This record gives sequence, C-alpha cells and structure tokens, in this order.
Amino acid sequence: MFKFFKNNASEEKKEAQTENQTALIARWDGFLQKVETRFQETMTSSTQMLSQQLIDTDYDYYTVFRTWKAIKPKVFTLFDTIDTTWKSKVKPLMKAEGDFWYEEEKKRSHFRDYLHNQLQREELILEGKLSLQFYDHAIQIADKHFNCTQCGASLSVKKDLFRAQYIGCKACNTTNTFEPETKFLQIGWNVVDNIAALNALDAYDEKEKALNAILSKHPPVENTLWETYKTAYHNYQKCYLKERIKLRLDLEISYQEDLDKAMQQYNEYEKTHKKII
Amino acid sequence: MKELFKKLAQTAQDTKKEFASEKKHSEINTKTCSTCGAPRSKATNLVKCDYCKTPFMNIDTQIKTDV
Repeated sequence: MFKFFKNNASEEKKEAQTENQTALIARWDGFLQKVETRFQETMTSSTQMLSQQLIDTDYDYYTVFRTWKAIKPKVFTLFDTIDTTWKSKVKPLMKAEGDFWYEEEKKRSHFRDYLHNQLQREELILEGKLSLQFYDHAIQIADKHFNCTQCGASLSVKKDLFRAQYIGCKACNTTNTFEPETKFLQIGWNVVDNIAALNALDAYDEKEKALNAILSKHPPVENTLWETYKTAYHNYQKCYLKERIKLRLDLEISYQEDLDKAMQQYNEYEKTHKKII
Repeated sequence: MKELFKKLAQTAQDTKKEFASEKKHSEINTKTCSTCGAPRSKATNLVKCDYCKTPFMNIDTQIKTDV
C-alpha cells in the first residue's frame, strides 16, 4: 500500500529534484515502508499468539482481550516513530536541500492517517477472528446433554439465545430453567458484535472508502460525496445489525431502533463535520 | 516481539480478577409452586402457577417458554 503514496509524486517533480533530494526521499520512503512492514508483522503475529493464548487459557476471552489492549499501545509507539523521526532527523535534512520537504510532510501526514485506518480495520478482523474462535468453542455447551428434572427426557437448548432459558419438556410438559455457564452467556455480549462486524467487512470497507473520499477533498466537499457516504453508512449498519440477528435472535426486536440510533449518530456527524470539511 | 508478547500475556493472566458470580457449569432446574408443589407447565404464563394461581413473580406481564 505504501507504493500508493510513493508513486504520487509526479514525474515532472522527480526530474526537478537534485541528487541529494532524491536520495533523501528514497531513504524516507524506505523508512516508511519499514514501519508499514513492521506493523503488518505485528498484527499477523499478534493474531497468531492471541489465538494460541485463547486455547492456553481455556478460552478466557477477556484475559486475551486485555493482552491485546496491552499490545495496541506498542503499535501506536511504532506509529509515533514516524513523527519523531520526521521532526528530529528527516525534516531538518530536507529543509536544508530545498522546498520539497513540504510535499514529504504531507506524505507523512497522509501515511499516518492511512496506518491508523489500517489499524482500525485490522483490529476489527482480529477481534472478529478471536470471537469466532471463542464462539465455536462456547457454543458446544448447548450440545451437552441436559435432561428434564421431572421425567428425565432430553432437552434441547437454543443456540441463538444467550441468557437463562425456559425450556419446555416435550415428554411431560414441565418448564425447566436452563442456567448456562458464564462462557455461554459471554457469547451474547460482545462476541456476537465482533463476529457480526467481521461478517460485514465488505460493507465496512465501502463505508470507509466513501468517508475517505470526503476527507481527501479540499473544502467545500460536494453533496454527492456526502450522499454516497450516507448510503454506504446505512448499508453497513443494516448489514452489521442483520449479521448480529443471525447469531442472537432476540436482537430482532430492536433492529429498527438500533438502525435509527446509528443513523442519528450519522446525522450528528454530518451536521458537525459538513461545516468544517 | 515474541518475548514482549509473552510478558504482556502473562501480566494479563496474573492480574485477572476472579468473579464470584462466574459459573463454571450449566444447570437445569425446575421451579415448583410453594403452595401446591406443581412445576410450571409448558405453554402457560410462567409468572403464576397454572394450577392454584399462586404467583411465582410479582410482575404484570406474560412470560412464555423459550423452547
């Protein structure tokens, strides 16, 4: 992805550059490339290691997520090296060679924003994958054998309802109360949300693409771009909420209310940012 | 990175809080009426006893079985 920023410099500008300038830019590009590679490596190894920790801790979901919350600041520290290196080393050297540093400063700023967006996306994927792994394990609790306390007939537990359940016995008509272990209840908390977000990744990408189209424009931004973003945002929310319902049936009742709330948040965002952007 | 991760993972495990409310096993129970001893039947309002009408809960709503 870094190539995208690198190739943005026009051929004309490249020709006008002195040898020293070209060398400085090449070194700076090389540094930024290394930061991106390191970031990708960190995310890949974190996913693998957190997945292993989930198994090692007997699917202790929240301990694993606390580990991730401890790793995340290290990623920000990596991002911060871009600014510190730019300010302390690169910028003074480039300033001494001419005005071209201004373009490179813009590149730094765009690249940093890009990395932050990438982190947000990678985090969504990581949380989704870990949640899916936890779900696959914890959902098996529903497959265990449970019997009616009155007649001993076997009972079937609902796999899309993550709270205590009233289960009617098909043999003797008695209502049994199923009190699940904590892991089963945890599925209904943010595990379902994270899986739904992962399943709605395509719609998420469309939404982010539409937002970036707005952010990359100089103000005033055309209304059509806001309309495109609104549609993409709406589609994402619809897709995300429907994915949640697939896993947690009781959320169906609040679907419209949840969608309205999300769109209300969008309207607030548009109202505030349309003036600024 | 691996060493750092191990350290962070260990810290997260060591500082884990044990909650008394955490259930390690699932259970199946049947609530019976304190007056007549009848269990609650399927397809009835679970708020009160279907036989002697003794309330199980003091709420003004209908609760049905989930399954």
